[in-house]
Amino acid sequence: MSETKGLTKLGMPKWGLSMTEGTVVQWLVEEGAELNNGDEVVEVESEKINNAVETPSPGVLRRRVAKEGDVLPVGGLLGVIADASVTDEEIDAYVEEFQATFVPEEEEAGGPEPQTVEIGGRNIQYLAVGEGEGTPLVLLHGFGGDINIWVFNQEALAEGGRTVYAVDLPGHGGSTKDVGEGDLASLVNVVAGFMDEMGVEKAHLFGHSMGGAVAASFAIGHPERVRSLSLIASAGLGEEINGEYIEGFIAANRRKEMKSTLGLLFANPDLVNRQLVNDVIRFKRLDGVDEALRRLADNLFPDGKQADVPDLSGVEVPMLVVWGREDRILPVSHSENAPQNARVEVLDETGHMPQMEAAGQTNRIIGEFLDSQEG
Amino acid sequence: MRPIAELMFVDFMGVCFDQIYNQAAKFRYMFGGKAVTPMVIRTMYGAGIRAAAQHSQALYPIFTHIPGLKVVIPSNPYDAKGLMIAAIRDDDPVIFFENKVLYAVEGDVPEEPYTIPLGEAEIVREGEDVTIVAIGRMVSMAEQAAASLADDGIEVEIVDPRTTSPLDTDTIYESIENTGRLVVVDESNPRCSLASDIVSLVTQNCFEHLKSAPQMVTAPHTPPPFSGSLEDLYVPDPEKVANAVRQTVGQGVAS
Amino acid sequence: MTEAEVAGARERHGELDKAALLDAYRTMRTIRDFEERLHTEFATGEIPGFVHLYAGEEAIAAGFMAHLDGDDYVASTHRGHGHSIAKGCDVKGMMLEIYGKDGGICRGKGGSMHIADLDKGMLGANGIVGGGPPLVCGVGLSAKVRGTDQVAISFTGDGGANQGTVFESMNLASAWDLPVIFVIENNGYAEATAQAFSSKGIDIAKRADGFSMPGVVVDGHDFFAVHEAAGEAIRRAREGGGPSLIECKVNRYYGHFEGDAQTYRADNEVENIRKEKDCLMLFRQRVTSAGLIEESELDKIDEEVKNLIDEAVKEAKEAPEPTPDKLLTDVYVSY
Repeated sequence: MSETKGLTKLGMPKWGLSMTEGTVVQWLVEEGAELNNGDEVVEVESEKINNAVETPSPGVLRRRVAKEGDVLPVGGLLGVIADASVTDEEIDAYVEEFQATFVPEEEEAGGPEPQTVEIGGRNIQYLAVGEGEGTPLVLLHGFGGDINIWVFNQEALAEGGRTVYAVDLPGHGGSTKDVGEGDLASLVNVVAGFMDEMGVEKAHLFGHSMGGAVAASFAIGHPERVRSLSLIASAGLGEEINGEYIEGFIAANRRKEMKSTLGLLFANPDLVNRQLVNDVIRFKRLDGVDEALRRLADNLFPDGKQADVPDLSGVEVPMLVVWGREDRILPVSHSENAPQNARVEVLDETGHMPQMEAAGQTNRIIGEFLDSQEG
Repeated sequence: MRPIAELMFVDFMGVCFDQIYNQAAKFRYMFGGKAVTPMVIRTMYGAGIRAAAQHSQALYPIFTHIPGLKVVIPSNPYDAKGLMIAAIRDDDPVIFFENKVLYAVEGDVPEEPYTIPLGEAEIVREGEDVTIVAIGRMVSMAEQAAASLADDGIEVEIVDPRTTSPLDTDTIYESIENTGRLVVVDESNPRCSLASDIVSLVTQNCFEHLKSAPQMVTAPHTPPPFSGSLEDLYVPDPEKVANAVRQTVGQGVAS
Repeated sequence: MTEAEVAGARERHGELDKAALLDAYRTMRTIRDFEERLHTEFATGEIPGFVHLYAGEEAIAAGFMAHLDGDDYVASTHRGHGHSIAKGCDVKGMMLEIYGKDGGICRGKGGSMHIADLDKGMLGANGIVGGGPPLVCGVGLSAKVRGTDQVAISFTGDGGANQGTVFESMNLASAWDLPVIFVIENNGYAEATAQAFSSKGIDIAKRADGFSMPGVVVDGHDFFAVHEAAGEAIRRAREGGGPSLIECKVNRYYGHFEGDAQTYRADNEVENIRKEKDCLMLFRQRVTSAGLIEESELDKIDEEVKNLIDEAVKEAKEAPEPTPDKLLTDVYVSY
């Protein structure tokens, strides 16, 4: 395809390994709008939540090619961004040529697939993305989550030339549902065992929510194995927690209840789509999940409070704390409890899942943080 | 012991019907709750493979009628596994109906064991205009109809009861409260069918929400014919479903 | 048929004159060609539904039906083509039926498993295993009440022999001295289950003792053995002597149904039987070596049957499907 100078394709993104197509939910800006880096242009429904596609470059949104409701394959043409020097005729020609020659990629057979490793008698599922010399990343999800909560981040974070491991903690995702003691210490042991199995001596550790408390505990217990610590809407920084959410998540077995429960995770509950709700309900139906969640909740969040608030004051590793200002699970005020040396970023119009709801912004913040460590 | 018997074709149930409906179905109640009968009977039902009158019937209404039996009719592979495990763990006798045409359908199924509670309907598709309650293989007929109706601006909600006994009436009624219109798609014969049952339940309990007369799409009141040209007319198809939906929104075409 | 003609026919069948032998051969050959042809045609995908072939068991149908007249009754099994042909059902009408065509013997509504012609006393092939014996109790009782000398024969397989309906029917027929013959066609397999897995190893015929009726075992490959045993039981039934049980040990040449991979059978199992016990081969040897019939006469029948089957298949393929309105006919009411 010929390149037209000053013209940028706005394509259907690939969020996560299994995404092959996406549905255009709504355009967020009008044709003719000026776009700056990071501006959200169009909302697309993916397999998890609806998400906004950001402009790949500054310019003017000259053409909205896809209509709302259209289903496009990954790489399909959503719109055209160009500066004023490009004529309408050139844009017409570009669109026409693109549509005539575009061939969607075949569904990938060889992409990374989740793997399983045995740790302490349990099968632990993980997904490794990327490779390179860089210090690996280990991503730990929160209560009721799994490796898929990193669907918008894992590939972006691997771009620096490193392996990014997302791990299903015991009781979650594709890992064994037996959580053993089901306390922070037992989860920390699993993380240590996982790093041993992967041959990872030292990692950048990322924890979301409950996973943040695990990561923090790990950093206290194994400071020599932690290159940096990133806590995203993290547990372990204060006592309060939305106990109704925890109990609601455990109790919800029907789509409707689950949709409203999951809605609490996001500043904009409308982002919760059918697929996400279905996936969570399917997870909850697996044998052993009810018991696992119950035990974890009883240990970690008894009586609607957090049982463990690890003392991070002695932890010297670089630390990043990211929070959504509209978090309804763990209050944003907990970000103020971060140690003095931590870099703290609070995102507007974002709830408990910044890595999903403000994926682009979160990826940029993390990217900068990692660069500052390794750069 | 939690026995699972496979009775091949539901048409053959006549041969052992007494043991099912007079014995197994009644033990728990007759014996004052002191007996359980944790048995699953798997059986094939449905037309579509030219197997003629004694190998093609959709006889689940007969079993749904009998107190003490539970009746499961999955519409897809994922539900089939979760419902089967739930059926095995259930302490009542469960008749597990498998549409023989659906054996060719593929879908993602987790390796791990999981259960889907008996008596929980699934909303297969959400929509505002008309509720279709579809049983077993008819769910896919409803989905095909819904796709074509959406092109004409009619948004259909599809409820798959998954079990006809117990029947998740709450989910059905809730959907009717939103849409006010009902079409039931049932591969069985029309009289004393799931279609007539659900229509009557909805009429009785949601009358004030109904905007039009409920419609039934069923097989005709005949045995399943052998000849392919007749059997294809026998089984409800997406076109018949779509026509019934149009009836409920006042766009009926004379048939 | 006048009464005298009926009596004459009955006598002639009993003594197996040349005409009766040629009839029997034609019946067996017609069944064989019909089934072999279905086997090849089914493989093309043109024949819908389930087809269960009778090839290998022809001597039983021919041996019993040689004693029957049009007003006697037969209730068959899912493997019913042979009984239907032997009982006089129209071969072309049967072929049309199996192809699901409007002109079929059941107007395309029944198919292979439900071939029936009540005018010929053929109460139907049957999709339900063990379905036939209760039916012959009904028609047997009817004959007894009406005071005719009609008889009724049910065929059941070795699998079906274990159905409660069969035991109940034998008990009732015996208690009421019904003019009924229970024939067990024991081909060794209930679908894919060898008999040793489903019953305890004595002859099924011995069950007759428990119902106070005669029970005999015959070689189902041998037309003459079947014919003799059948004649005795049918005579007894006609004379008011009550029911009999006849177990015919036999083999089927094809699977339970067309498409059955038959992994449960030994290598060369069928080939060996075809070589050693084929009923047509045995019949031909017997009648020609005894000088009763010339080879050429049998060859002529072979040729005629071949043509008949060719025509039947050709006509069946070309015949029209039932029209949509037929969906709602032949049932008492439509909703």
